[in-house]
Amino acid sequence: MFSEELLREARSIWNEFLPHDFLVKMAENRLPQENFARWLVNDYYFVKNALRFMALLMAKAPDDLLQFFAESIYYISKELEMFKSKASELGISLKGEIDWRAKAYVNYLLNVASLRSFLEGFTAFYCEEKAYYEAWSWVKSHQKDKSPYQEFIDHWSSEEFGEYVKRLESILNKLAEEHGELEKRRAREVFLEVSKFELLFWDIGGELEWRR
Amino acid sequence: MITERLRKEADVIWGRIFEHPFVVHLYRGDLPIEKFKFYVLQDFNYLVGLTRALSVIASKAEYPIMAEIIELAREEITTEMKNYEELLNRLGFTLEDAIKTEPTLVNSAYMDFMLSTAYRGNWVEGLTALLPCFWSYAEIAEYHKDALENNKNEIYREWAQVYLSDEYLGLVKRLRKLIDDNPGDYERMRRIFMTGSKFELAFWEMAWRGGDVF
Repeated sequence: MFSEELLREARSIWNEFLPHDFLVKMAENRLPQENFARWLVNDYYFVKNALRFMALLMAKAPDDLLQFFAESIYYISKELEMFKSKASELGISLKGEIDWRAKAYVNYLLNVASLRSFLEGFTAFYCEEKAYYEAWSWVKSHQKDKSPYQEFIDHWSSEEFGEYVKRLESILNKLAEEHGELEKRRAREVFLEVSKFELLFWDIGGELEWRR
Repeated sequence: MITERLRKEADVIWGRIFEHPFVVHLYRGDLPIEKFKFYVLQDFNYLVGLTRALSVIASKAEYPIMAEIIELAREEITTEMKNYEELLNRLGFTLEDAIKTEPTLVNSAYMDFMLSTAYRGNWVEGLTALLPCFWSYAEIAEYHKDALENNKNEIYREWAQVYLSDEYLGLVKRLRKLIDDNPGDYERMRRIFMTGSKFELAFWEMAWRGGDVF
């Protein structure tokens, strides 16, 4: 399976964020609110722009995937409500400064969706959703007590979200079968690149050290 | 309101749409079914193109407008296109038949016009290219409301009633509001709206003729 190959090749990168220090602290209720706030502001920015990434991808999608995309984008846009209500509960402004790593990640995704093939774009999409699901599922399975951010943990480790990621996986694998080696190689590169961005993104909510 | 102004500019074209023989016979109920079948296969393809254009337009807008545009795309797929799937079956077609149908030249050009406006312009201009389609279907249905009451053809009647429904009229209203609240350069919008209106007329003509000029 193409998705298995991708995950195998990126294993060493994924091991660095499964679990990331941010996730460990989240699971153990040791995450300072300030770190959560920084992550929240950046992730809000990320999700808003990921919607555009998905819309660009939708424009290139095969006919039979249009409905899937329209529903996905709608569903994900509703997640933004959760960010807004949590931010107001904690007194955080979502208009805070955006970290360069979040900007670089978003720009990379928009670049892939605009300039590269649908397979490459969809691979980026799968990587981003899968990494997210795995990260939050790790937190969920290592929690001892209820977290002040429980709705975030529950949302992205839910069975429903897991099913969604599986659906993406089967679409990707079917797509990959219809593509040649050269195209798949390019998609593999995208998967590695997005994996690195996922890792960098968790750093935003962690300590303010720069990863080389 | 800018959409009101655009509508007035295109009044002559829209008048010809309302009185186009395909439209008149369709609403009266005596349109040959073969013509309707041809139209439905083409229109199904067109709606796919329109949805694609909506996704490009959405990618250019900021949240929350972006989400509103995607919501339009989602409704378009779930309401109008779902109706079409049932309609295809009633007409003896499968979804594959519709997907495999080659668009006519008029249809291709119309879809390309929407898509290129979406890619080249800002999101308001992109939506303006789609407005004549959404809006004229509602006005056509209103214009022929009386004829529809005496329409004996169940397939045609059910097809047309969608465009009188609150859901559909709500969609048109929201689309107009998005444009009215964010007006751009009038001259560019006028050209886009006029071209879209002409394509609507050309589409009905193409359907009446049963093909391109070739």
